[in-house]
Amino acid sequence: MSDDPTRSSGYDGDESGPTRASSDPAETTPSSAGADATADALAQGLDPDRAVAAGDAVTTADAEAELDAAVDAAPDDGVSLERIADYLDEGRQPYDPLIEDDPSALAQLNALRRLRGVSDQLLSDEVAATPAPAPSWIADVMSRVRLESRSGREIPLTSTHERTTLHITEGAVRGLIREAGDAVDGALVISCAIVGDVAQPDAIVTVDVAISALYGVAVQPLADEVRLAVVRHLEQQTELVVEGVDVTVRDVHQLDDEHDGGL
Amino acid sequence: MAVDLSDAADAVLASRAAEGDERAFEQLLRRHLGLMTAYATRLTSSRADANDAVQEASIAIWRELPTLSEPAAVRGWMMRIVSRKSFDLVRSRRPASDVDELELPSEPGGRDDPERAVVTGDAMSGLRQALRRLPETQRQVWTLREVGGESYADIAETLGTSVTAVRGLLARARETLTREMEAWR
Repeated sequence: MSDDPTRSSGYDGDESGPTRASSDPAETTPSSAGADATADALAQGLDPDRAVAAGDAVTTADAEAELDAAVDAAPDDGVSLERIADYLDEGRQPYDPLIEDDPSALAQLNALRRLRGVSDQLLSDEVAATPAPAPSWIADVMSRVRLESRSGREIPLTSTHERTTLHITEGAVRGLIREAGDAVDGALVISCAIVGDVAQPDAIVTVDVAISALYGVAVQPLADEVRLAVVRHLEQQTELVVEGVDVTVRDVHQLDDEHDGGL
Repeated sequence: MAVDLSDAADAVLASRAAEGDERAFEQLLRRHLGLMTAYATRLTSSRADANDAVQEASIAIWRELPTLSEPAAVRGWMMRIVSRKSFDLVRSRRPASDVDELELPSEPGGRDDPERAVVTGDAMSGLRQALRRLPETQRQVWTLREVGGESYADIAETLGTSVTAVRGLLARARETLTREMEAWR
């Protein structure tokens, strides 16, 4: 290495660098071999009272761990494993010559990469080995979900009987809007909102709909079609006086098999 | 006819579910259930506890979805709720049984696939055993970070400790694992 970096210049470089400067308190206080929790916490921008409390609360094991952290952060022979791991987390960007040009740091980086590869493999193995949930498990969750349905505001309907009042929930109207928008070829509703005082009969409302457009579909005609479909559906199914429907194309999507086929 | 949501992006499903679309929620749940369960199994050391924790997490996810500010980040957010519920469960059980003694997810299938066993089987079982030998808190921190992808601050909050302690525990776990990994070749 032509520019064999010393450790102290390494820390200087890190502190002035743009990345993760605040994310590694142990490095910004390389001399904190005493693992001063307060100072470390301060370095992270915590408020001092909380930091003191945290320092008081740590157990012996934690204090030991903090000591180790401080030691790890300032090893005798180069860049700490923790810093290398952070660098790896950042996708090795921006290029850090202190790690990339140092054989022992690079060896550690590669060891961490390999460990991560094995971890990922282990996890996907365990995910694959997870038995499919019993249908009753899903059914149980979904029935509890339905108990907590998001019905939103109540929207009055004209009743044919004098003594009964009828309502449709805002949640149900949202369902109708999604249904109408989804039914338009190439559109998928992301979110929708009913703006206006829907609790008043005959209130004038507007509807906001955000959609995702299928890749390759002309956006303007698609938005118009969704607007019409929503207006028509709400006219048929509700008594809402819809003054306008604002459609926003917020995203573009592809279908899964098109990902594979490469459009 | 209802639209097919199986191709919909996580962010779309999360937004729709936040607004009450139960079908979108079910799709989101099914898509990530394997990962959630594997994660909870690692954290609770028990398949049965994992199923309970994931069920509680699922309800919490549904309940809290309207507060999610970044729908595109829903997966990591879901994993965080899974770990929270897993630790709730472990803590509630701790007086009755030593969690360390419970069965670990030792030999999941996939081992039956001979090709995979040749490629990484030794390394995987090496890692599995090395993880089992780690002190409990180191194993937990490592799992929260490497499996759950959680932030140091979130891990500290879940474990009721400081970010500095989390960093220290993680550094030690990584050091031990990379050292032991030398033997897995």
